[in-house]
Amino acid sequence: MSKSPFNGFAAEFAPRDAVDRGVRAVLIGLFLMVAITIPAHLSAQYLDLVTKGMAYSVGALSLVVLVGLVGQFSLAQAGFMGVGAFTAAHLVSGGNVPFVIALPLGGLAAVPVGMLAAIPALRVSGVYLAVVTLSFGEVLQKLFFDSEYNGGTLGHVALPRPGALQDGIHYFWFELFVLMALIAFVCMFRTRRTGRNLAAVRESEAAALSVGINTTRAKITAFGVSAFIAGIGGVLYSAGSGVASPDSFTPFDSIALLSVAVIGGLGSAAGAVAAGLFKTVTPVFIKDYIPFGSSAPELAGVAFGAGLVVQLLTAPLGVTSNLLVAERRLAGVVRFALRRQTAHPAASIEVIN
Amino acid sequence: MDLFVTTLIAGFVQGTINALLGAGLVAVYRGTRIINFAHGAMAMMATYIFVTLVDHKAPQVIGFPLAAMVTAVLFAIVLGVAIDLMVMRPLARQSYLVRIIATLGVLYTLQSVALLLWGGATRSVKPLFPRGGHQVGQITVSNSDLGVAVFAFGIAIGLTLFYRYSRFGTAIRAVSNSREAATLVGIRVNWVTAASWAIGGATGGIAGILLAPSLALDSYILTLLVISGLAAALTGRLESLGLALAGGIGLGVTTSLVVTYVGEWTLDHPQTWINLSHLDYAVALAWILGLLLIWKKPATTQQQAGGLLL
Repeated sequence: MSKSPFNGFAAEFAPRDAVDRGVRAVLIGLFLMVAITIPAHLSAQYLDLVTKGMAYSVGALSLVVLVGLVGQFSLAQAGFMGVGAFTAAHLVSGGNVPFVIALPLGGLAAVPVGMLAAIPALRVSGVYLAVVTLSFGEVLQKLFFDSEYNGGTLGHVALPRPGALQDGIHYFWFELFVLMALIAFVCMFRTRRTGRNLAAVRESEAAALSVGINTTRAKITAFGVSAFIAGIGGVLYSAGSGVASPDSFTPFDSIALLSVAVIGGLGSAAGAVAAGLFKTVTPVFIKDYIPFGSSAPELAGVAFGAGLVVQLLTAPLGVTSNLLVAERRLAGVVRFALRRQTAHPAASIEVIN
Repeated sequence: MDLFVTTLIAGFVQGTINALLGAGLVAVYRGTRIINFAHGAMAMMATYIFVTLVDHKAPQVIGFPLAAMVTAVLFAIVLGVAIDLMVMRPLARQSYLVRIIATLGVLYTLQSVALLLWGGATRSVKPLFPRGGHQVGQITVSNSDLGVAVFAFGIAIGLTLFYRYSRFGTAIRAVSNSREAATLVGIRVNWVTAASWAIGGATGGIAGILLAPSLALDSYILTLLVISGLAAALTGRLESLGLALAGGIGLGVTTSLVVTYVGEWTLDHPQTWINLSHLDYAVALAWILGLLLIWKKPATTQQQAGGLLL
């Protein structure tokens, strides 16, 4: 497989010194402040959209993890989301399991399914894996999500939220917390031993093998972690609408997920967050601001597909790469200001002498 | 026995369509080294245009909607060439992954355009060929089955012969082997890639049109035809048209047998946890996985590692 530009480009923009770290901390703080305060000012309809978007961000994060960690991509992510969603729905509405426990259990249920999808990845990579995972996601949806146990093709399974999360704003905050926790988990995972092994496999399988890394285990781990995150995203998505239904998790949703993740930036967690926003904001934007947009919600799909192609043609790294460049410039400005402040006294001494 | 033979025939007819889809994918792959995920979506667009034209009473030739078919296939050809010119060629220097994702973007765009123009409702399509059939022994072969099989298989065989024996086919094979060498001997590589996309579009369009009456006009189902096409094309490692044809028919017959006999079994043993009416997708997945297992392990891990150590 030829080297992809997506492979963990965020690493190139990782903070190098205290200034970089400070700028990033300030930016993340600003984002969190906006994210926490904004739902109170949104109408019910928009709140619903950002709630779905946040769940979608978790789904996109699962893809970012897979691409960023081992350089593979999968078209079965919506399938993994569905496994999480239906598991949690059956646990909550059938087994009276509390939602907060069903959420991680839904994620865990997706792990073996993800590992199963990883088995072909041991033999083939890149495009063949795309073929297999597309087909795998289709089978998951058509054979299992559509089954009578889940209410049939047009049916669904209820996934009610607990009392404390009934309020839309509270649920949004809960989603934000889960998303941030998952991003923190991914960042920590990346620098730990297993994560570094995965990075080695991504850069060169041959080299990784030669230093004794078990590439088989590395790939299966990456798919497991990715499926876990996707499963959580699926639970969050379905709990947002109150039902797990099979038509939320089709192969086309996997492709849409990939589209928005590429537009957002398929190599950094920030890209995943942006992807979720694109997914939900674009349809509303089209509806409100494009002539005749309100009569044609399908225009959003056209925008995602065409947007993906245009993004690849112009900047394959996605919009986040521009943001990261801007962040670096900002850090440069801060550094320049700091240097002037410290350099000034020294300069005056020189003049006197 | 009767059931067995009718199942075989139905499988063979379905298989010829798979073969035609696979042949289109192989054609694009050989000319451009791209696995075209938008193959089914291109077929879907052509099918919708065909049905729209038939609805508006396009002229017919002895009961066969020839004008509509020719227009739809021409549209598919233009669509294929447009994708090559507007998307794939500007991305030629990008990594492989980027180009594959671009075909997924094309898939998603076409699918959404179809939903926009024609809506999401599934509808049935009038049969292409006259009603009735032929009695062969105790088995009746319907005109429709016969027509589809002859049409699809004829085109697939014709394409194989074209690749093997015509001058342009040789040029395509040369480009497929080495783009640089082909350029050096004076082959216009850009023409070859454009022609490959055109062939892909045309064969896909014909397959969609032939299949629509027995399936249904549904943009999701037609777009996902790419999966059975890929299963057929992978049989020949995306290189061999002959193996792709054999693979397509093998897949069709296997699918038909599995779906029929598992269907018989579920009459007595209904299952609630799995929806066995969609078993055909599982057969395609099993087919693809089986192929990947049979293949020698691709040169990614062991061979590279060996080279590095030596």
